[in-house]
Amino acid sequence: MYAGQLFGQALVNGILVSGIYALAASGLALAFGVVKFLNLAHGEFLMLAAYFGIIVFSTYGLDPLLMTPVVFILFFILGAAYYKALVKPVLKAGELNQLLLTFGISIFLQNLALLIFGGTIRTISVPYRTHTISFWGINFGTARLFILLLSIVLLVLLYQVLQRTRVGRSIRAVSQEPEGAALVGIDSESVYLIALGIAVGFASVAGMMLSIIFQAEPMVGFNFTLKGLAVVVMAGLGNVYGVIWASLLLGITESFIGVFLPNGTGWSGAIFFLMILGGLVVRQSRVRTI
Amino acid sequence: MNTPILEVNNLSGGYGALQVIWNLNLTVRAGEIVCLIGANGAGKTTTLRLLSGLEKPMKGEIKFQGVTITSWLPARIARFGMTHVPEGRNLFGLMTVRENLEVGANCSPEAWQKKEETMDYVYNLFPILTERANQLAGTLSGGEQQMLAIARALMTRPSLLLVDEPSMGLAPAVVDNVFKALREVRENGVAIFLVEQDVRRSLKLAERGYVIENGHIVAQGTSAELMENEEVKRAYLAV
Ligand SMILES: Nc1ncnc2c1ncn2[C@@H]1O[C@H](COP(=O)(O)OP(=O)(O)OP(=O)(O)O)[C@@H](O)[C@H]1O
Ligand SMILES: [Mg+2]
Repeated sequence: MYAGQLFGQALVNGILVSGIYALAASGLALAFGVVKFLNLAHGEFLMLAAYFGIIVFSTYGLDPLLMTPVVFILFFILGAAYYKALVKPVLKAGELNQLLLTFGISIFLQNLALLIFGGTIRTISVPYRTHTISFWGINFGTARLFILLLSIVLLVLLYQVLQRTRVGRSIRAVSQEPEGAALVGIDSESVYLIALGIAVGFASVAGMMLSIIFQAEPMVGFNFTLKGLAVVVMAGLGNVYGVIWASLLLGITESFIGVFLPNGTGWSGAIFFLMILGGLVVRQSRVRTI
Repeated sequence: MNTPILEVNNLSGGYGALQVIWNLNLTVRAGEIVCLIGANGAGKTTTLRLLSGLEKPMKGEIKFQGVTITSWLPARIARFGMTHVPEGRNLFGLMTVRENLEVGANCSPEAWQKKEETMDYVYNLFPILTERANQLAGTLSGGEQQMLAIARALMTRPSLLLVDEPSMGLAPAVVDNVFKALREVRENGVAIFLVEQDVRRSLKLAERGYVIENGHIVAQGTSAELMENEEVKRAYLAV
């Protein structure tokens, strides 16, 4: 392979996975930006949806990507229930309690998955899983391409809802100015419920994607929580729009490190940690200049 | 005109265990402007925050349009027709002027139905907002922000508007504008409970007033009476 080709391939690989990162992270950003809630169990919803997709695929042979609307609605309801039952009671209890609670839920769900599904790695073998198409000597995994396109569609939909609909404006209003929103009659409770519903719904779609292009196992979710955190910190906490470029940056950096550093694949899995650090440092200085 | 729209009986409240307001009694009638005057830290903002549900009263009763709303949440109070224009304005800074108004109209099905009509009305009231319709609220000047805060509150179709220091930080010409608008709002049948530092100006605008000192109402009466009150003259009119 020419160096230029290698470079192009690394770039393409990075871009192709960034869609799934953006989906996972935008839910986290939404929960943080609107509800001011850091959900450490966010990734476990990806993991649950991944297993859900695996079961449905192995039982009925249904392509998980085609089930996106159904799964989104199911997990939206799950997210709303999660808000009502667990998030709402701790919202006023302070950040430390929220972190402890969601960390506990995360570990609980991981162990539940281990108990039910075992520790073996599973995937969904859709027919196009290993299929690739090539342009200019660069390979595009068909599954990854589908997944990137679906991510883009969903993110555009989310932004349209946030920008153009009544409920979207209410969500932004509560996020920007909770007291001002209450004073013009917006019920923050229902906004929080919807935000958590969308967050978990998006996580579930990302989860099914990961069972196609990566592998599902009980711990896979927490990895996505951490990567999602890196993206959210880079984007600026709670900034749903900044998630796009931050996800691209994460995906591309991981890919480049994997290709160009000796033993790079080992390092690339940890790069998110540097990004959290970098993001926090930049944010610090940004806060100081205000 | 004489039916009370807001009746407050023995209202006490504050922040946590700190009591700021003591046994407050006041009445606002439909379609009138009533002002609340007092020195810095007297408890004017706290009074408004208690009325709009942002702070929970320690005791006492708030009756609005005949219904006891004492421990209602702010959003419910706003939907029921009492809208608070807060001291800090609390605009949605990353939304355009038009979006801020649309969020205001989201308040109730009735307000949403009359959205276009109300929007024409507030743009008429504050023509500068028409020019700024697509500008982000956070980039407006102080005066424009104050106008937008009042306009956004009007979008909820309130029957009572609580306005906290609309003149704060504004140039005199802009204050004239805002006060003229408030007069027009009253002529449209909306009652106003006004907190204002500029005592002379607010007594001129209002039918009646209350004087608050250290969380206690110490004087009340028609504006003419208060203008003649020796205490008020000495403390607030500086004559
Ligand atoms: N969030 C708060 N927590 C604790 N105490 C407060 C808070 N806000 C106000 N206070 C106290 O309550 C008292 C009344 O304050 P308030 O803001 O109601 O006064 P005000 O009449 O509106 O004054 P100003 O004219 O300066 O706006 C003051 O002593 C103030 O220190
Ligand atoms: Mg005040």
